[in-house]
Amino acid sequence: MAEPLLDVSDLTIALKIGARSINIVDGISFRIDPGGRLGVVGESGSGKSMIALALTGLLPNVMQLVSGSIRFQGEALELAPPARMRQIRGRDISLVFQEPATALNPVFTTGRQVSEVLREHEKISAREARNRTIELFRQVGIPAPERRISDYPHQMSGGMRQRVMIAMALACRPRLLIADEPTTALDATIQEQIIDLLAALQEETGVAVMLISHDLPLVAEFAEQVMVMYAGRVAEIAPADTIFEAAMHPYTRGLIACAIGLETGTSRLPTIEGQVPPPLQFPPGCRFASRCPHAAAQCAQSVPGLQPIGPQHVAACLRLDQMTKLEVAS
Amino acid sequence: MSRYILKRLLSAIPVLLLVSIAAFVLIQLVPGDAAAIIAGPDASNDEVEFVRRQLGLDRPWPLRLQDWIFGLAQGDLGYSYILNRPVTEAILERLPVTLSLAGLSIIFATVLGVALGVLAAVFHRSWIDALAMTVALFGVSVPNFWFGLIAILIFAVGLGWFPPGGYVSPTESFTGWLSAMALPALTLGTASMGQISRFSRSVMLEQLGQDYVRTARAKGLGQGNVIGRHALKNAMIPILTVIGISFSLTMAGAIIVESVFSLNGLGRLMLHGIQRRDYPVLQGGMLVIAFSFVIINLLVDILYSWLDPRVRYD
Ligand SMILES: Nc1ncnc2c1ncn2[C@@H]1O[C@H](COP(=O)(O)OP(=O)(O)OP(=O)(O)O)[C@@H](O)[C@H]1O
Ligand SMILES: [Mg+2]
Repeated sequence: MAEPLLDVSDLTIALKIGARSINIVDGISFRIDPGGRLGVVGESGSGKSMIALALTGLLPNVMQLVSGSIRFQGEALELAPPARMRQIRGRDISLVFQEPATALNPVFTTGRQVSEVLREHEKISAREARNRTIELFRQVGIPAPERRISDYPHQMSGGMRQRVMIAMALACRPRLLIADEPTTALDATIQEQIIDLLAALQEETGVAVMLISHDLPLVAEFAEQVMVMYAGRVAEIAPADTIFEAAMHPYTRGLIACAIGLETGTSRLPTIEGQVPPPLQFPPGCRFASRCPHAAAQCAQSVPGLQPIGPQHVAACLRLDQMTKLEVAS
Repeated sequence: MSRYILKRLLSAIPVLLLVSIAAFVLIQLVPGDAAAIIAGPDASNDEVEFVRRQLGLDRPWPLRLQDWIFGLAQGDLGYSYILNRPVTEAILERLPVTLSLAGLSIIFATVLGVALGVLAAVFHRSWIDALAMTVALFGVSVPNFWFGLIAILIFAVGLGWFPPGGYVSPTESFTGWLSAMALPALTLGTASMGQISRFSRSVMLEQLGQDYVRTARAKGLGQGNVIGRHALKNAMIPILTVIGISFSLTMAGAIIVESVFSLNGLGRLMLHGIQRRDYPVLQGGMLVIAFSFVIINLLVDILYSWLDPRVRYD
């Protein structure tokens, strides 16, 4: 097997509240191959964004990388000094955020905001940066790019702004693109366009993509591997093409039931009862236990580890053997 | 952009007209008989009536308002019998002093205020933040005149670095002008500096939490670029409003500071005008100050449109 592009192991991020420290992200491991596509799914508050920020050294001050390693092209990013991280950000690893409306600076032209990345990382003239920006705008499907580069963000639609963000992210031909819910803030039709664009650009440039979303079907369609997260831990990692049939974790199955319900438009949407507990109320055992229909007494006590299920397929549940039986029964 | 500025310029005209009328009306409302005061306590009735006619105060007010407005249009602010010269001339002579004072103090307040505010926000909750906000608190709470007197004692009388008072024209000696204005401008600008730095801090804190700042960091830009360019340009939009407001504070404070530093500016001219009931001077002075507010507001608006494309394209 080839050397992975990104190899994250046992990543733990803690939130400091006074003297307390709560593991918002708790011992997460995953890898992304060069040119690979990893999807990350989980409800709000599961720590998806914190992983994205940790990978780029942008964690907010209240958060701390407690342990774990982040190997990117063999380099230990968790040890990299800030100046080194700055070189990597925007050039080797880039980010696309959820809200294109606020992620762009309102007082600079969109073209300038793209050419700025180029000029930061590559010693090129303003003129050359401008030409490359126009080319990038064209590449992400912005019509009349020569004109649009002088548009300000407020003069563009949400979809166009997200295209600008993608152009910005791809400007320096990065090896890894992290897209944190890039379509959540957009209309359904625009969502699809943006995902198609990401897929097309991924093939064209060979960049590896980590796509973060709430939306399991969307992620499963885009990605090769899907990582399902719950309250800062990995619930399950499975190949995207078989996840709907082969999912083993009760949480993944809950997400699938919701997704199928949405699709068939069942009048009563099947949902997972309750909400992700706030960090201060994380239980000592399995964090999903309080909402899990299959929870047993042991689930409240011990933390489940990741168990291999098949090739490229792992899940963290103490009741996996029960789950198999349940599946056969139903 | 230029259309926006033109629009703003045109909309200033009715405001200026209104201000002119208001200056006239306010003076009419002041109690007391101007003619009697100018004629003196020992004057006979005839003498008072003579003065009244001389001043044109016997004519009905609509006519006097008309004279005032037409005079204004020609740059004529009337005649002061107390100073024995045209008001325009007296004001023009004093204006450079006040403009130097207000201008320099606003520049000082803006530069130091914004710098302290930004530093405090960037180093939020550190000793730098605490120090900057202590300076700001000192600025807003120490009275102008007291600060001026202390500054004179230490830097002029004690150390002899600056002259204790008096005005030097910049055309005569630029460095002389700067050193003559340094202490007064510092004194006058301190309160605004405090306000601007407190406000800048809160605006900057808010901006630093915005998504676009995270995007700028995600691009690999350095601190200087992220803070000094991306965040500051956004922060300057609301800060500009406060600078504009501070300017009116500055004009009011100029009267005190000019007295402390014996500068013959507009403030002192008006102070004397009040003491001697020199209505034409008061009326003219008020008008000039009101005009300066309008002009400052106009400048602020133009700067807005330069900073904020959303204003420009509306
Ligand atoms: N600046 C912060 N201060 C305190 N807690 C935070 C901060 N940012 C995030 N958190 C907490 O960290 C946890 C993980 O947040 P994160 O943003 O990574 O979730 P997410 O999976 O990206 O959710 P969403 O789908 O809403 O984006 C949440 O419980 C959140 O409340
Ligand atoms: Mg998130």
